[in-house]
Amino acid sequence: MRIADKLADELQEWYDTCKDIGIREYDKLRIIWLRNLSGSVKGLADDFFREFLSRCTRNNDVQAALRWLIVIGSILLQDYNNGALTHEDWVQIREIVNSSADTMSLDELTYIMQLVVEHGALN
Amino acid sequence: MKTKDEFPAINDRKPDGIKPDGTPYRIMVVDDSMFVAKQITQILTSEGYNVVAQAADGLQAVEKYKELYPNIDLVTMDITMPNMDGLTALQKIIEFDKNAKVVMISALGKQDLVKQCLLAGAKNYIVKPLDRKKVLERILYVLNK
Ligand SMILES: [Mg+2]
Repeated sequence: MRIADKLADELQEWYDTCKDIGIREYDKLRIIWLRNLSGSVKGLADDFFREFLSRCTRNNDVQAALRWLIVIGSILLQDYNNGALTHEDWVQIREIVNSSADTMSLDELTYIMQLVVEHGALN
Repeated sequence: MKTKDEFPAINDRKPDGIKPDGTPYRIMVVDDSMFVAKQITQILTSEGYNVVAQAADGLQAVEKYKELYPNIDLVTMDITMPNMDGLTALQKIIEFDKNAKVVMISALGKQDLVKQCLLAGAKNYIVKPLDRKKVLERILYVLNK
C-alpha cells in the first residue's frame, strides 16, 4: 500500500466516524496528520493543517477541505499522484513552502518546488 | 542455435544523453572554475550529451542562453561566480523562458543559497565535489520531467 494511501484512509476514516465535528475531533485529526507526516517538517505540516482548518470554516465544507488535505499529504510524503488541485492551490502551496523553506531539507524543497513549477505556479 | 548477432551487445544500452528521437540533449555548462566546467563536460559527453556552450559567469550564461534558445535543453549553473552569480542568472533565464531547465551546482554548506535557487525555479541541484553517478541521475531526472 502506498504511504499516501494509508494517510488518505486514516483521514477519511476520521471523517466517516465522527458525527459532530468539533474542536476535539479536529484535535484528533491533527494528531493523525502529524503522526503520518512525522518524517516531514513539523512546521510545514502544521501550516497546512491550519490552512485546512480555515478552509473548513471559510467554505463550511469539511469534505472538500479534507480532499485538499489528502492531496497535500501526498505531496508532503513525496508521493503525489496527480491529485486534483487548482492553480490557486498551487500558488498557495508555494507561498506556504516559501515561508517554511529554511527549516526544510533540500530534497523536500526540490520535490515540492518541482511540482509547483510543473503546475505553472512559480510566479 | 542462436548466432552471435541475436544477442544484444552489452554496449547497446542507449546512453543517457540521447533523446528518444536519436539526437543528443543540448546542454550549457556554466562555471567560473575551468576545472569544474571541464569535469561536468566530460561526464556529460561520455554519456552522449552535446555540451553546446560553456559560460564562465552569469552574464555570459544569460546571453548565451538567449542566443541558443530554443535549441537548448538544460543548463548546469554554478552558484558562486564573478560578474553575475548563479541565482541572478537563473532568475534572468527563467524570466526569459519560464520552462528553462536549470540544475544548480553548489559547494558544500550553501544550503540557504540552494534553497533560494529552488524557490526561484531551479529544477534540481548537485553538490560539489561532483559524483558522476549523481550528476547523470539528476540531469536525466530533470530532462525526463
Ligand atoms: Mg564558482
